[in-house]
Amino acid sequence: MQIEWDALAAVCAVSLTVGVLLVGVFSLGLVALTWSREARSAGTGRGARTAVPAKAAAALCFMVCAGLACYGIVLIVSQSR
Amino acid sequence: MVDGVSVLLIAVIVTALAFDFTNGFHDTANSMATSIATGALAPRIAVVVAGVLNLAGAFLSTTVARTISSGIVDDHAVSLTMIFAGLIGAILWNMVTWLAGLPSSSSHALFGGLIGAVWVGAGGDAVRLGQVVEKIVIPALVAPVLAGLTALLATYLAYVLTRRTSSGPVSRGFRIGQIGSASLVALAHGTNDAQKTMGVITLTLISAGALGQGSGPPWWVTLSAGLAISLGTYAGGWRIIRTMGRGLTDIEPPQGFTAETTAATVILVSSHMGFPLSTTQVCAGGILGSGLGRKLAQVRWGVAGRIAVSWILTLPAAAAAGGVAAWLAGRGDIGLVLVAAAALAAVGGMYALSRRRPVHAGNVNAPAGEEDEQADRTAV
Repeated sequence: MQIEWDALAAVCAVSLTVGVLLVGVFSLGLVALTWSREARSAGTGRGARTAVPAKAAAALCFMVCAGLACYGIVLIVSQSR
Repeated sequence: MVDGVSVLLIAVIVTALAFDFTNGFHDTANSMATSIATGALAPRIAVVVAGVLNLAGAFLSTTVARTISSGIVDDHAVSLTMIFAGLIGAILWNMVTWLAGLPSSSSHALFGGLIGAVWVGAGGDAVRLGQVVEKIVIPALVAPVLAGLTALLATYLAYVLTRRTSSGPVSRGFRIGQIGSASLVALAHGTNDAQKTMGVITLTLISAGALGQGSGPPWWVTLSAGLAISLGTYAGGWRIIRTMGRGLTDIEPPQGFTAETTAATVILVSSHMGFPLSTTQVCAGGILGSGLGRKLAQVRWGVAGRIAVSWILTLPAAAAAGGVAAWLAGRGDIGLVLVAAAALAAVGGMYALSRRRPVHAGNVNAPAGEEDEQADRTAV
Protein backbone atom coordinates (compact mmCIF):
# COMPACT_ATOMS: atom_id res chain seq x y z
CA MET A 1 0.00 0.00 0.00
CA GLN A 2 1.35 3.36 -0.88
CA ILE A 3 -0.63 6.51 -0.46
CA GLU A 4 0.34 9.27 -2.84
CA TRP A 5 0.54 12.08 -0.34
CA ASP A 6 1.98 14.43 -2.97
CA ALA A 7 -0.97 13.91 -5.30
CA LEU A 8 -3.32 14.28 -2.37
CA ALA A 9 -1.76 17.54 -1.21
CA ALA A 10 -1.72 18.89 -4.77
CA VAL A 11 -5.40 18.02 -5.26
CA CYS A 12 -6.31 19.78 -2.02
CA ALA A 13 -4.27 22.90 -2.79
CA VAL A 14 -5.53 23.27 -6.37
CA SER A 15 -9.17 22.52 -5.47
CA LEU A 16 -9.17 25.02 -2.63
CA THR A 17 -7.54 27.76 -4.69
CA VAL A 18 -9.59 27.30 -7.86
CA GLY A 19 -12.87 26.76 -6.00
CA VAL A 20 -12.59 29.83 -3.80
CA LEU A 21 -11.23 32.06 -6.59
CA LEU A 22 -13.94 30.96 -9.02
CA VAL A 23 -16.72 31.75 -6.58
CA GLY A 24 -15.01 35.04 -5.66
CA VAL A 25 -14.68 36.15 -9.28
CA PHE A 26 -18.30 35.23 -10.04
CA SER A 27 -19.49 37.15 -6.97
CA LEU A 28 -17.46 40.20 -8.01
CA GLY A 29 -18.99 39.92 -11.47
CA LEU A 30 -22.49 39.98 -9.97
CA VAL A 31 -21.59 42.97 -7.80
CA ALA A 32 -20.21 44.87 -10.80
CA LEU A 33 -23.20 43.98 -12.97
CA THR A 34 -25.70 45.11 -10.36
CA TRP A 35 -23.66 48.29 -9.82
CA SER A 36 -23.72 49.13 -13.53
CA ARG A 37 -27.47 48.57 -13.77
CA GLU A 38 -28.19 50.70 -10.75
CA ALA A 39 -25.82 53.44 -11.95
CA ARG A 40 -27.53 53.52 -15.33
CA SER A 41 -31.04 53.65 -13.92
CA ALA A 42 -29.92 56.46 -11.61
CA GLY A 43 -29.57 58.60 -14.75
CA THR A 44 -27.02 61.38 -15.13
CA GLY A 45 -24.39 62.40 -12.62
CA ARG A 46 -21.30 60.98 -11.04
CA GLY A 47 -22.71 57.47 -10.65
CA ALA A 48 -23.75 57.13 -14.28
CA ARG A 49 -20.19 57.49 -15.50
CA THR A 50 -19.18 54.31 -13.64
CA ALA A 51 -21.84 52.26 -15.45
CA VAL A 52 -19.71 51.37 -18.47
CA PRO A 53 -16.49 50.40 -16.64
CA ALA A 54 -18.53 48.40 -14.14
CA LYS A 55 -20.20 46.55 -16.98
CA ALA A 56 -16.83 45.83 -18.55
CA ALA A 57 -15.52 44.50 -15.23
CA ALA A 58 -18.57 42.26 -14.91
CA ALA A 59 -18.05 40.95 -18.44
CA LEU A 60 -14.42 40.19 -17.64
CA CYS A 61 -15.35 38.29 -14.47
CA PHE A 62 -17.98 36.20 -16.23
CA MET A 63 -15.58 35.48 -19.08
CA VAL A 64 -13.04 34.12 -16.61
CA CYS A 65 -15.73 31.86 -15.12
CA ALA A 66 -16.95 30.73 -18.55
CA GLY A 67 -13.37 30.01 -19.56
CA LEU A 68 -12.83 27.83 -16.51
CA ALA A 69 -16.11 26.02 -17.22
CA CYS A 70 -14.97 25.35 -20.79
CA TYR A 71 -11.67 24.05 -19.46
CA GLY A 72 -13.73 21.77 -17.21
CA ILE A 73 -15.51 20.34 -20.27
CA VAL A 74 -12.12 19.83 -21.95
CA LEU A 75 -11.00 17.89 -18.85
CA ILE A 76 -14.13 15.72 -18.95
CA VAL A 77 -13.63 14.88 -22.62
CA SER A 78 -9.89 14.30 -22.29
CA GLN A 79 -10.37 11.84 -19.44
CA SER A 80 -10.73 9.19 -22.14
CA ARG A 81 -7.05 9.55 -23.03
CA MET B 1 -22.92 -25.89 -21.13
CA VAL B 2 -22.79 -23.21 -23.81
CA ASP B 3 -26.39 -22.38 -23.06
CA GLY B 4 -25.62 -22.10 -19.34
CA VAL B 5 -22.82 -19.65 -19.96
CA SER B 6 -24.82 -17.46 -22.29
CA VAL B 7 -27.78 -17.31 -19.91
CA LEU B 8 -25.37 -16.24 -17.17
CA LEU B 9 -23.81 -13.72 -19.56
CA ILE B 10 -27.21 -12.19 -20.29
CA ALA B 11 -28.01 -12.17 -16.58
CA VAL B 12 -24.79 -10.27 -15.86
CA ILE B 13 -25.48 -7.71 -18.59
CA VAL B 14 -29.06 -7.14 -17.45
CA THR B 15 -27.91 -6.83 -13.83
CA ALA B 16 -25.16 -4.41 -14.83
CA LEU B 17 -27.71 -2.22 -16.61
CA ALA B 18 -30.02 -2.42 -13.60
CA PHE B 19 -27.15 -1.30 -11.38
CA ASP B 20 -26.47 1.52 -13.83
CA PHE B 21 -30.10 2.61 -13.49
CA THR B 22 -29.88 2.67 -9.67
CA ASN B 23 -26.60 4.55 -9.99
CA GLY B 24 -28.47 7.15 -12.06
CA PHE B 25 -31.29 7.89 -9.66
CA HIS B 26 -28.97 7.63 -6.69
CA ASP B 27 -26.81 10.42 -8.03
CA THR B 28 -29.34 12.85 -9.51
CA ALA B 29 -29.13 14.66 -6.19
CA ASN B 30 -25.42 15.36 -6.66
CA SER B 31 -25.98 17.68 -9.56
CA MET B 32 -29.54 18.82 -9.01
CA ALA B 33 -30.51 18.79 -5.31
CA THR B 34 -29.26 22.31 -4.60
CA SER B 35 -30.54 23.63 -7.94
CA ILE B 36 -34.00 22.36 -7.05
CA ALA B 37 -33.76 23.69 -3.48
CA THR B 38 -32.83 27.23 -4.55
CA GLY B 39 -35.41 27.28 -7.34
CA ALA B 40 -32.72 27.64 -10.03
CA LEU B 41 -34.49 24.84 -11.90
CA ALA B 42 -37.97 23.41 -11.50
CA PRO B 43 -37.77 19.78 -10.28
CA ARG B 44 -39.06 18.23 -13.52
CA ILE B 45 -36.76 20.37 -15.68
CA ALA B 46 -33.78 19.64 -13.45
CA VAL B 47 -34.05 15.87 -13.92
CA VAL B 48 -34.47 16.27 -17.69
CA VAL B 49 -31.32 18.44 -17.84
CA ALA B 50 -29.38 15.99 -15.67
CA GLY B 51 -30.58 12.99 -17.69
CA VAL B 52 -29.69 14.54 -21.05
CA LEU B 53 -26.25 15.62 -19.80
CA ASN B 54 -25.65 12.14 -18.36
CA LEU B 55 -26.38 10.64 -21.77
CA ALA B 56 -24.13 13.18 -23.48
CA GLY B 57 -21.42 12.46 -20.93
CA ALA B 58 -21.66 8.73 -21.60
CA PHE B 59 -20.87 9.33 -25.28
CA LEU B 60 -18.20 11.97 -24.69
CA SER B 61 -15.49 9.50 -23.91
CA THR B 62 -15.33 6.06 -25.42
CA THR B 63 -12.42 4.50 -23.56
CA VAL B 64 -13.67 2.36 -20.72
CA ALA B 65 -11.95 1.21 -17.59
CA ARG B 66 -9.52 -1.60 -18.32
CA THR B 67 -10.19 -3.35 -15.03
CA ILE B 68 -13.49 -4.15 -13.39
CA SER B 69 -12.40 -3.10 -9.94
CA SER B 70 -9.43 -0.74 -10.51
CA GLY B 71 -7.20 -3.32 -8.82
CA ILE B 72 -9.19 -3.67 -5.60
CA VAL B 73 -9.63 -7.37 -6.29
CA ASP B 74 -7.51 -9.72 -8.38
CA ASP B 75 -9.31 -9.46 -11.72
CA HIS B 76 -8.03 -12.89 -12.85
CA ALA B 77 -9.91 -14.52 -9.98
CA VAL B 78 -13.21 -12.88 -10.93
CA SER B 79 -15.78 -15.16 -12.57
CA LEU B 80 -19.07 -14.23 -14.25
CA THR B 81 -20.96 -15.53 -11.24
CA MET B 82 -18.96 -13.26 -8.92
CA ILE B 83 -19.62 -10.20 -11.09
CA PHE B 84 -23.32 -11.09 -11.06
CA ALA B 85 -23.33 -11.51 -7.28
CA GLY B 86 -21.34 -8.32 -6.74
CA LEU B 87 -23.77 -6.33 -8.87
CA ILE B 88 -26.72 -7.79 -6.95
CA GLY B 89 -25.10 -6.73 -3.66
CA ALA B 90 -24.51 -3.21 -5.00
CA ILE B 91 -28.08 -2.87 -6.29
CA LEU B 92 -29.55 -4.03 -2.98
CA TRP B 93 -27.48 -1.54 -0.95
CA ASN B 94 -28.33 1.25 -3.39
CA MET B 95 -32.02 0.47 -2.93
CA VAL B 96 -31.75 0.40 0.88
CA THR B 97 -29.97 3.76 1.02
CA TRP B 98 -32.37 5.26 -1.53
CA LEU B 99 -35.32 4.13 0.60
CA ALA B 100 -33.71 5.84 3.59
CA GLY B 101 -32.95 8.91 1.45
CA LEU B 102 -29.23 8.63 2.08
CA PRO B 103 -26.69 9.71 -0.56
CA SER B 104 -24.16 6.89 -0.46
CA SER B 105 -21.57 6.31 -3.17
CA SER B 106 -22.68 3.94 -5.93
CA SER B 107 -19.07 3.19 -6.83
CA HIS B 108 -18.35 2.13 -3.27
CA ALA B 109 -21.42 -0.11 -3.35
CA LEU B 110 -20.13 -1.72 -6.55
CA PHE B 111 -16.65 -2.19 -5.10
CA GLY B 112 -18.15 -3.57 -1.89
CA GLY B 113 -20.35 -6.03 -3.76
CA LEU B 114 -17.40 -7.26 -5.82
CA ILE B 115 -15.15 -7.55 -2.75
CA GLY B 116 -17.74 -9.68 -0.95
CA ALA B 117 -18.42 -11.86 -3.99
CA VAL B 118 -14.73 -12.41 -4.72
CA TRP B 119 -13.93 -13.06 -1.06
CA VAL B 120 -16.53 -15.81 -0.92
CA GLY B 121 -15.89 -17.14 -4.42
CA ALA B 122 -12.11 -17.02 -4.65
CA GLY B 123 -10.91 -16.54 -1.07
CA GLY B 124 -9.66 -13.54 0.90
CA ASP B 125 -6.30 -13.59 -0.90
CA ALA B 126 -7.93 -12.30 -4.07
CA VAL B 127 -8.96 -9.10 -2.25
CA ARG B 128 -6.21 -6.50 -2.02
CA LEU B 129 -6.82 -4.76 1.26
CA GLY B 130 -4.02 -2.26 0.71
CA GLN B 131 -5.75 -1.10 -2.45
CA VAL B 132 -9.04 -0.84 -0.58
CA VAL B 133 -7.44 1.56 1.91
CA GLU B 134 -5.68 3.53 -0.82
CA LYS B 135 -8.54 3.78 -3.31
CA ILE B 136 -11.58 3.87 -1.03
CA VAL B 137 -10.88 4.64 2.63
CA ILE B 138 -8.44 7.55 2.22
CA PRO B 139 -10.41 9.28 -0.58
CA ALA B 140 -13.60 8.82 1.47
CA LEU B 141 -12.00 10.72 4.33
CA VAL B 142 -10.54 13.42 2.07
CA ALA B 143 -13.56 14.08 -0.18
CA PRO B 144 -16.07 15.56 2.29
CA VAL B 145 -13.42 17.46 4.25
CA LEU B 146 -11.83 19.02 1.18
CA ALA B 147 -15.14 19.88 -0.50
CA GLY B 148 -16.57 21.10 2.79
CA LEU B 149 -13.62 23.37 3.58
CA THR B 150 -13.55 24.79 0.04
CA ALA B 151 -17.30 25.44 0.09
CA LEU B 152 -17.09 26.98 3.56
CA LEU B 153 -14.44 29.50 2.54
CA ALA B 154 -16.08 30.19 -0.82
CA THR B 155 -19.52 30.71 0.73
CA TYR B 156 -18.11 33.10 3.30
CA LEU B 157 -16.35 35.00 0.52
CA ALA B 158 -19.48 35.12 -1.66
CA TYR B 159 -21.56 36.58 1.19
CA VAL B 160 -18.89 39.12 2.14
CA LEU B 161 -18.44 40.32 -1.46
CA THR B 162 -22.15 40.67 -2.20
CA ARG B 163 -23.06 42.09 1.23
CA ARG B 164 -23.67 45.67 0.05
CA THR B 165 -25.41 44.76 -3.19
CA SER B 166 -29.18 44.43 -3.50
CA SER B 167 -30.02 40.78 -3.02
CA GLY B 168 -32.63 40.36 -5.79
CA PRO B 169 -30.39 40.61 -8.86
CA VAL B 170 -27.50 38.89 -7.06
CA SER B 171 -29.67 35.90 -6.15
CA ARG B 172 -30.86 35.67 -9.74
CA GLY B 173 -27.25 35.71 -10.92
CA PHE B 174 -26.22 32.99 -8.51
CA ARG B 175 -29.13 30.82 -9.65
CA ILE B 176 -28.09 31.18 -13.28
CA GLY B 177 -24.47 30.42 -12.43
CA GLN B 178 -25.56 27.40 -10.46
CA ILE B 179 -27.27 25.90 -13.51
CA GLY B 180 -23.89 26.03 -15.25
CA SER B 181 -21.91 24.34 -12.49
CA ALA B 182 -24.65 21.75 -11.85
CA SER B 183 -24.57 20.89 -15.54
CA LEU B 184 -20.82 20.32 -15.35
CA VAL B 185 -21.33 17.93 -12.44
CA ALA B 186 -24.00 16.03 -14.38
CA LEU B 187 -21.79 15.79 -17.46
CA ALA B 188 -18.79 14.55 -15.48
CA HIS B 189 -21.04 12.04 -13.74
CA GLY B 190 -22.31 10.63 -17.04
CA THR B 191 -18.75 10.20 -18.28
CA ASN B 192 -17.42 8.56 -15.11
CA ASP B 193 -20.24 6.34 -13.98
CA ALA B 194 -21.66 5.19 -17.31
CA GLN B 195 -18.11 4.17 -18.21
CA LYS B 196 -17.94 1.91 -15.19
CA THR B 197 -20.95 -0.09 -16.37
CA MET B 198 -19.60 -0.15 -19.91
CA GLY B 199 -16.34 -1.48 -18.51
CA VAL B 200 -18.07 -4.22 -16.54
CA ILE B 201 -20.14 -5.34 -19.55
CA THR B 202 -17.22 -5.16 -21.96
CA LEU B 203 -14.90 -7.15 -19.69
CA THR B 204 -17.69 -9.68 -19.15
CA LEU B 205 -18.07 -10.10 -22.91
CA ILE B 206 -14.30 -10.48 -23.28
CA SER B 207 -14.03 -13.09 -20.54
CA ALA B 208 -16.93 -15.02 -22.12
CA GLY B 209 -15.12 -15.00 -25.44
CA ALA B 210 -17.76 -12.91 -27.21
CA LEU B 211 -15.23 -10.09 -27.79
CA GLY B 212 -11.53 -10.17 -28.55
CA GLN B 213 -8.95 -9.30 -25.89
CA GLY B 214 -8.52 -5.58 -25.40
CA SER B 215 -11.45 -4.55 -27.58
CA GLY B 216 -13.55 -1.49 -26.81
CA PRO B 217 -17.25 -1.58 -26.03
CA PRO B 218 -19.59 -2.38 -28.94
CA TRP B 219 -21.97 0.45 -29.81
CA TRP B 220 -24.95 -1.22 -28.15
CA VAL B 221 -23.06 -1.38 -24.85
CA THR B 222 -22.30 2.35 -24.96
CA LEU B 223 -25.87 3.15 -25.93
CA SER B 224 -27.58 0.89 -23.38
CA ALA B 225 -25.29 1.93 -20.51
CA GLY B 226 -25.78 5.62 -21.36
CA LEU B 227 -29.55 5.15 -21.63
CA ALA B 228 -29.77 3.18 -18.37
CA ILE B 229 -27.94 5.80 -16.33
CA SER B 230 -29.75 8.75 -17.88
CA LEU B 231 -33.17 7.11 -17.46
CA GLY B 232 -32.25 6.44 -13.85
CA THR B 233 -31.23 10.07 -13.45
CA TYR B 234 -34.49 11.20 -15.02
CA ALA B 235 -36.44 8.96 -12.62
CA GLY B 236 -35.18 11.32 -9.99
CA GLY B 237 -34.30 9.63 -6.74
CA TRP B 238 -36.42 12.29 -5.03
CA ARG B 239 -35.84 10.91 -1.55
CA ILE B 240 -32.11 11.58 -1.79
CA ILE B 241 -32.67 14.94 -3.49
CA ARG B 242 -34.79 16.00 -0.54
CA THR B 243 -32.10 14.99 1.96
CA MET B 244 -29.35 16.80 0.06
CA GLY B 245 -31.39 19.87 -0.87
CA ARG B 246 -33.49 20.32 2.27
CA GLY B 247 -32.21 18.00 4.95
CA LEU B 248 -28.59 18.98 5.51
CA THR B 249 -29.07 22.74 5.65
CA ASP B 250 -31.29 25.51 4.28
CA ILE B 251 -29.77 26.53 0.97
CA GLU B 252 -29.90 30.10 -0.34
CA PRO B 253 -28.86 30.89 -3.93
CA PRO B 254 -25.26 31.93 -3.08
CA GLN B 255 -24.81 28.70 -1.14
CA GLY B 256 -26.30 26.58 -3.91
CA PHE B 257 -23.95 28.17 -6.42
CA THR B 258 -20.96 27.71 -4.13
CA ALA B 259 -21.77 24.10 -3.22
CA GLU B 260 -22.19 23.07 -6.84
CA THR B 261 -19.22 25.07 -8.13
CA THR B 262 -16.82 23.74 -5.51
CA ALA B 263 -18.17 20.22 -6.17
CA ALA B 264 -17.50 20.57 -9.91
CA THR B 265 -14.04 21.98 -9.19
CA VAL B 266 -13.04 19.28 -6.71
CA ILE B 267 -14.37 16.44 -8.91
CA LEU B 268 -12.59 17.65 -12.04
CA VAL B 269 -9.34 18.59 -10.31
CA SER B 270 -9.13 15.31 -8.39
CA SER B 271 -9.89 13.04 -11.33
CA HIS B 272 -7.55 15.02 -13.59
CA MET B 273 -4.70 14.85 -11.08
CA GLY B 274 -5.05 11.11 -10.60
CA PHE B 275 -6.70 11.03 -7.20
CA PRO B 276 -10.37 10.47 -8.05
CA LEU B 277 -12.85 11.26 -5.28
CA SER B 278 -16.44 10.04 -4.95
CA THR B 279 -18.86 12.50 -6.57
CA THR B 280 -21.47 11.80 -3.92
CA GLN B 281 -19.13 12.49 -1.02
CA VAL B 282 -17.76 15.62 -2.64
CA CYS B 283 -21.25 17.00 -3.24
CA ALA B 284 -22.49 16.23 0.28
CA GLY B 285 -19.35 17.82 1.72
CA GLY B 286 -19.87 20.88 -0.47
CA ILE B 287 -23.45 21.33 0.72
CA LEU B 288 -22.39 20.94 4.35
CA GLY B 289 -19.59 23.47 3.88
CA SER B 290 -21.95 25.97 2.26
CA GLY B 291 -24.17 25.63 5.32
CA LEU B 292 -21.26 26.29 7.66
CA GLY B 293 -20.06 29.26 5.59
CA ARG B 294 -23.22 31.33 5.99
CA LYS B 295 -23.84 33.03 9.28
CA LEU B 296 -26.91 31.78 11.11
CA ALA B 297 -27.42 28.93 8.67
CA GLN B 298 -28.55 25.83 10.47
CA VAL B 299 -26.63 22.65 9.76
CA ARG B 300 -28.54 19.55 10.82
CA TRP B 301 -25.78 17.42 12.23
CA GLY B 302 -28.18 14.54 12.84
CA VAL B 303 -28.74 14.23 9.09
CA ALA B 304 -25.01 14.64 8.41
CA GLY B 305 -24.29 11.92 10.96
CA ARG B 306 -26.76 9.52 9.36
CA ILE B 307 -25.14 10.14 5.97
CA ALA B 308 -21.70 9.49 7.46
CA VAL B 309 -22.89 6.21 8.98
CA SER B 310 -24.29 5.14 5.60
CA TRP B 311 -20.87 5.84 4.04
CA ILE B 312 -19.11 3.71 6.63
CA LEU B 313 -21.64 0.91 6.15
CA THR B 314 -21.67 0.99 2.34
CA LEU B 315 -18.59 -1.16 1.74
CA PRO B 316 -19.23 -3.86 4.37
CA ALA B 317 -22.98 -4.00 3.75
CA ALA B 318 -22.65 -4.32 -0.03
CA ALA B 319 -19.84 -6.83 0.55
CA ALA B 320 -22.05 -8.92 2.83
CA ALA B 321 -24.89 -8.90 0.31
CA GLY B 322 -22.48 -9.69 -2.53
CA GLY B 323 -20.90 -12.47 -0.49
CA VAL B 324 -24.20 -14.15 0.32
CA ALA B 325 -25.27 -13.81 -3.31
CA ALA B 326 -21.95 -15.31 -4.48
CA TRP B 327 -22.27 -18.22 -2.08
CA LEU B 328 -25.81 -19.00 -3.22
CA ALA B 329 -25.11 -18.39 -6.91
CA GLY B 330 -22.08 -20.67 -6.65
CA ARG B 331 -24.35 -23.63 -5.79
CA GLY B 332 -25.34 -24.02 -9.45
CA ASP B 333 -28.16 -22.92 -11.71
CA ILE B 334 -30.82 -23.18 -9.03
CA GLY B 335 -28.77 -20.97 -6.73
CA LEU B 336 -28.41 -18.43 -9.51
CA VAL B 337 -32.16 -18.37 -10.10
CA LEU B 338 -32.75 -18.09 -6.35
CA VAL B 339 -30.42 -15.08 -6.11
CA ALA B 340 -32.14 -13.35 -9.03
CA ALA B 341 -35.60 -14.09 -7.58
CA ALA B 342 -34.63 -12.93 -4.09
CA ALA B 343 -33.11 -9.74 -5.46
CA LEU B 344 -36.20 -9.00 -7.54
CA ALA B 345 -38.42 -9.62 -4.54
CA ALA B 346 -36.29 -7.36 -2.31
CA VAL B 347 -36.22 -4.54 -4.86
CA GLY B 348 -39.97 -4.86 -5.39
CA GLY B 349 -40.57 -4.87 -1.65
CA MET B 350 -38.47 -1.75 -1.13
CA TYR B 351 -40.28 0.00 -3.96
CA ALA B 352 -43.61 -0.93 -2.37
CA LEU B 353 -42.36 0.43 0.98
CA SER B 354 -41.38 3.69 -0.71
CA ARG B 355 -44.95 4.14 -1.96
CA ARG B 356 -46.23 4.39 1.59
CA ARG B 357 -44.55 7.75 2.00
CA PRO B 358 -43.69 8.79 -1.52
CA VAL B 359 -41.37 11.67 -2.34
CA HIS B 360 -41.79 13.09 -5.83
CA ALA B 361 -41.33 16.24 -7.89
CA GLY B 362 -44.36 17.79 -6.20
CA ASN B 363 -43.22 17.52 -2.58
CA VAL B 364 -39.43 17.31 -2.92
CA ASN B 365 -38.98 20.85 -1.61
CA ALA B 366 -41.07 20.30 1.48
CA PRO B 367 -38.92 20.33 4.61
CA ALA B 368 -37.63 16.91 5.51
CA GLY B 369 -38.19 15.62 9.03
CA GLU B 370 -40.93 15.14 11.53
CA GLU B 371 -43.11 18.04 10.45
CA ASP B 372 -43.78 16.47 7.09
CA GLU B 373 -44.50 13.11 8.66
CA GLN B 374 -47.31 14.86 10.49
CA ALA B 375 -48.35 16.67 7.35
CA ASP B 376 -48.48 13.35 5.54
CA ARG B 377 -50.69 11.88 8.22
CA THR B 378 -53.16 14.73 8.06
CA ALA B 379 -53.12 14.65 4.26
CA VAL B 380 -54.05 10.97 4.23
